[in-house]
This record gives sequence, C-alpha cells and structure tokens, in this order.
Amino acid sequence: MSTPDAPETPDTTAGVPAGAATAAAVAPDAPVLSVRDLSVSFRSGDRTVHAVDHLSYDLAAGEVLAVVGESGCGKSVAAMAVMGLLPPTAGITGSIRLAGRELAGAGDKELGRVRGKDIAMIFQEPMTSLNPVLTVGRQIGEVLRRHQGLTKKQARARAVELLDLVGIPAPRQRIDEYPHQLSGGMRQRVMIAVAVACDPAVLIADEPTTALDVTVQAGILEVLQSLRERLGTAVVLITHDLGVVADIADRVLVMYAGRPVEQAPVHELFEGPRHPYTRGLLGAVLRPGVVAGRGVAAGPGAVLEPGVAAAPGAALRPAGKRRLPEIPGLVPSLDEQPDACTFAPRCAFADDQCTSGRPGFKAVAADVGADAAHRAACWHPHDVALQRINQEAGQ
Amino acid sequence: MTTANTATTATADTTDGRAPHPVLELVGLERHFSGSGGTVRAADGVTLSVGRGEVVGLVGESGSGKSTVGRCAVRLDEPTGGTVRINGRDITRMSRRALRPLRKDFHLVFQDPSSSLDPRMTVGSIIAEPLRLHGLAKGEAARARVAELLEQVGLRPEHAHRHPHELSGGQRQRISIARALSVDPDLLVADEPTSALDVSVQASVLNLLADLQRDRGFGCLFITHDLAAVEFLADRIAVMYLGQIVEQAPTSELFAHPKHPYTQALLSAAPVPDPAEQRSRQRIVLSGELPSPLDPPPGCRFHTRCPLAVERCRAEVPELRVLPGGGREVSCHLVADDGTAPDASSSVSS
Repeated sequence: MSTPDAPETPDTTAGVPAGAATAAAVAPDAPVLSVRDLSVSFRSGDRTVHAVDHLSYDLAAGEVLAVVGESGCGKSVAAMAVMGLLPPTAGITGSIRLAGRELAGAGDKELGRVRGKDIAMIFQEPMTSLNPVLTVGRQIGEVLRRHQGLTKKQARARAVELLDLVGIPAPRQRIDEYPHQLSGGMRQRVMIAVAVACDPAVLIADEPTTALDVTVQAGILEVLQSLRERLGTAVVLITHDLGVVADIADRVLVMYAGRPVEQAPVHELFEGPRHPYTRGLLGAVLRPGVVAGRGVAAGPGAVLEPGVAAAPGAALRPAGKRRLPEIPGLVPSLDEQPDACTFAPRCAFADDQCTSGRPGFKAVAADVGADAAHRAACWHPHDVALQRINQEAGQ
Repeated sequence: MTTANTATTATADTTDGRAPHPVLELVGLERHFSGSGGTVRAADGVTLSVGRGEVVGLVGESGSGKSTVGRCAVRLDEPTGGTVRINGRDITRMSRRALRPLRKDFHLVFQDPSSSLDPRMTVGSIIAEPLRLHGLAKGEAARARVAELLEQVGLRPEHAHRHPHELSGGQRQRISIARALSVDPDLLVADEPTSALDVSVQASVLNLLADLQRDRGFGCLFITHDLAAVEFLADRIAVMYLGQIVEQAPTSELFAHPKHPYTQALLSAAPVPDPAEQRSRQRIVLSGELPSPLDPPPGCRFHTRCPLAVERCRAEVPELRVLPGGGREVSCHLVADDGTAPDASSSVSS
C-alpha cells in the first residue's frame, strides 16, 4: 500500500501515476481510481466519529465495483470523500488517485475541473440533485458548456443524444420538460445523463435504485450496464441490495463499521465468503422464489429456466417453522476504531486473537481455491470457509 | 366474495369456537379522491379477505393503492365505496365513537417506526397506551404486561424506561409490534414493516413477526413491495396494479406459476442475490410508465405496458376470475379458463 507522496500533479502530466517514477505512461491495466488508506472522521463536541477507517480499493476501467454494507458502515461517506463533497470539518487522510492525479487535499478549484468531467456521482433521490426550476436540457447542457465549451446549440443537440442513451423515449420533447414532470425512474435517467455527459472515467452511483420500484430498477440497471459496454465507464456502485450486486457487479467490497472486511470477484464472494460478516449478510438476505432460510447462496445448478422467476423448490414451501439466519447483536459505535476486529462481539468464530489485534485486509490463501483478488480482514478466514463447506455437505 | 368463502372454509376448523368469519373482509372496496384535477381511483373495487390466523400478502409497486387498502381496512382512511368487515361486522360507515371499542381487534404497524412512535413518551408508556385506552390493564398489571411484551419481541424489561430515539431502527420496529400486539388483536395490518430496515435487521423482524403470528394466531395483512419478504411470511398473496387486484394465489403457486403478465414481470424484475442465477434469468422489462390513477387506461389497466396485449385488452375490462385448482384468481383475458397462462417473457428479445 503506497502512501501518497506527491499531493498534486500538474495538469500537463495528468494521467501519469505520480507515484510510479519508472512509468512513462499509464499501464493499460492501471486502475482509473485508486484509493489508499482513506480515513474520514467527524468531530462533534468532544466526540470524534470515525466513519471510514483505512479503506483501500482499486477500480479498473469499465469495471463495476459494488460497495456493500448496512447503514452507517461508511460506504456513502467514503464515496463523498472521493468526490470531495464532504464539509471542511471532515478530517480526511489517505490517498485518492483518479487516473494518477491525487484528489485528496486538492482545492475546490482543482476538484471543480475534475468533478462532472472525469468523475461524476448520482444519488438515491434525483429530485434532491436536479434543479427544479431548470429544464432537463438546461441541466445537461450546463455540464457540457462548462467542461467542454460547447455552444448552446451544440449542447442541446448533445443533450438529446444523451437522453436517448439513457433510454428516455421521445428525447426531443422531454428535453424541454422540468424534473417534476418526470417519473422517479425518468428523473434517475436524467441524473445519469447529466453525470455521463462528459464521458467520465468513473461514475459513483450511491443507491441509485433504492427509491425505485423493481420494474423501474430493472431498467436503470440496464442503463448502467450499457454505459459500461458503450462508454467503458467504470462504476462504483454503493448499495445494500445484494440482488442488485448479483445482477451487475464485477467485484464486491464489503464494509462493516467503517472498515473494509472483504473484497472478491462477485461469483467468488457469493459462493465462498471468507468473512463471517459477509456470510451473515448473505445468509440473512431473502431470495424471492426460493424457499427462504437456505443460508448462503445456492450452489451452481440452481439456474432458472429462462422466463419467470419460478425456482426449483418454490412449490415446496413448508408450512412449518422456518427461520432466517440472523446476525446477533448490534453494529458498534464509531467513536473509536479499536485495535481489534470490530465484528468480534457478534462473531461465532471470535477468540482472543480477534479481541486483541486488528486483522489485516489480506489476500486469503489460494490453497482452498480462492481467487488472488480475494481479500478478507479476518483472523479465521479458513474456518469460515470450512464451516460453510461442512454445512453444505451436511444438508 | 369467492375468496371470502374459500378463506372461511379453510380456517373454519381453527376458530376454536369463535365466529367463523374471516377477520378481515373487503368487498368491492373503493377509495376515490376527488380534486380539481379529477378523481384519483386509489383503490377501485378491491375484494380480499384475511382468514383467522392467515397471513395475506398485498403486493404492488408505488401508486398501486396497496397502502390505501391497508388504511381503509382499519378505517384510518374513509372508504368511498364497498364494504369493510372485521370479524363479520360491517365497520365501513360506523361512527368513530362506535368504532372505538372495536379498535382493539385490529392494529396497524407502519413502515417508519421513528415517525409513528411519540418521541416524548417512554417505550413502556407507548406499549401500554392501547391497554390503557381500552381499559384492559393499568398500574402494576400494565407494567407486568409491558415487560412480558418486551420479552416477546426480543427486548429487555429495562427498555421500558427508554425513549424511542435511544433505540435502533430495528428495536423501534419491535416496539411498534409490541404496542400493536398489546391488546391481542385478531388482525394486524403491517404496511412495509421492514422496508426501512437493514438486511440483517429485516431478517430478525421478519422472524419475529413469523414467530408471533404462529404463537398467537392473529390474521395479518402484510403490505409490501418486497417479494422475498412476502414469500417468507404470507400464506396467500394478492397482487395490485393501479388500484385493483390483478392476481391472487397461494404463495408457493404464485411464485411457481405466476399467471398475470404483470405478476410475471414483477417477479422477473426482482433481482435474485446469486450472480450465477441472476445473470441467467430473463428479465421482462416493462415499457412505458405507470399510467396516472387519475385517468386509468380503458380495458385492462395493464394493457399499455403489457408485452402481450391484444385488441381485446384495450377495449374490454377483464374480470377477476376464479381458476380451477382452488384459491387462484386472475384478471387477464389471455389466461384460459383452465388456467393456462401466456408467458410474458416469450415476447421479450433477450
């Protein structure tokens, strides 16, 4: 984990990783966004809340990284820190590199040149981010004129294209409408159009479908998917919905109480979670169309026939006692980040080591078939995997 | 009506001497809101019943009218037509005063416990309030009952002295449930009780509701947009679209063989938390938008978005028909009388 060395990179060398002295150009597989040891704290009175504690991740071009966790785990705060949208009272340390350019500690002016152009963000409730008194066309055009110096006429033509890109029917008419005239799903599409207007390398989407109905959500997920395919946009998708993750993510980062606890390619995370919290989360989530309470994701072979969501076993819903696995206990307070595993008080695997030392966010060994990119912050990742395997064998 | 009869028969042997009526019967329930812009038909002829000890899921998306139905069922909202019966008694137009003593028979649990619990009251007095209002217990008896209820919902007796803001969202929802169950109602109407909660907390509240329902045997109208939650909890599910029920079936059958194209689309759109499975599914993406309930489309209300709609759907209103095999109803012209249903995904190019 490299520490930030050059806090500012001159514009002329933008795109060259400042930390890599030997690199003459960006390696083709270099991450577009690289976050290292990001910590965010807020002071209120004599209390300090450590909302994010040493978060690191890389995002490759065209990749969808899902950041998953429950309320208060720090997933949104971390995203706001990356965008430079936190108030000045927030204490931010660590490094945030966008295509090699350091954003942590950058001034408003510099961030203003990057935001909306190289990195953009969409939020859960589009009505709070769209300006209610401007037409859709004006809002998209504003970004284009500011960052790309387009004329009014050019911006309008491009805005129509963008509305079409995000799947808004009759874009030539819609462009003159105001946000309140649109449905929730259409507003979210407009937000996406504003965000991708300048073809940013990175789009941060914070719970983009949480406020929407499932049939509308399906459409928005398809838009995000097509952006990745057509524009190569990399997406950081912040969500608590594991169904959405399963649908669209390439990789998943799980956060708990401000810390990263597990990171893995999506199939591997669902099939072989190594952190007890991830396992609990996957166990607690309900699967529509499948007898509930089956624990962690069903193995391969549960593939559906194309068509409706009829799943094997759905007709066998037992009338008797069924329970969903729960995670006992409560999320800890963020007043301190102890030198211990913060999940230990709720964990069945916890021992002295867990309460006396903080586990590193380390690659889990490949001897049990784990992917090299699979990391977990746990002292007992193998026990977690073994227990799962034994339980499935015993079923 | 047929539903009502079916439910009555199904639960007749579990009524232990009490009246053999369903705990809740809605017959042709209407709630129309008139304004200068026209009439919003939020609920438009909803017929539904909840048998004693039965959990009925009412599913639909925003604007389908499911919450309006729930509010009308407990007379928090005034129906403009149709009939609401609780334990066989017509309460549709009963005066507030006459209704008051009956209110202990039915209770509503809301989505957001932080807005439905009085922040100035202690947890103990919140839970005891219905007991006090109905004159069922006071003083030491009420305190003992509160402690008992707290334990049943998985909290500790000390919690009685706390205020709602000192508790987590999941704990607050447990308080709402304890309050609702304090008077031992026959019917619990739960409107999105877990939607504001985190995944792991949702699981524990759903487990709690399932346990309590099994132990105490109240009937429950469970209103939600969460298909997985309703599958876990409900015995039977009714699907609403634009103010009307379009399909009703026992839970396992609805998930295994959804008949109405809207139900099929809804089930296909809910993502499954398993990447291998989710990526191999075919999703029916509905075209267009939910039409305005101010001006619902003629014919079948779903025809503007239905991938299978034919001429007849645009012109003729489909009736909610009973299908053979028991307990299934659907309103779609394309479903044959023997229950053979079209496959909405067949018209979708993947």
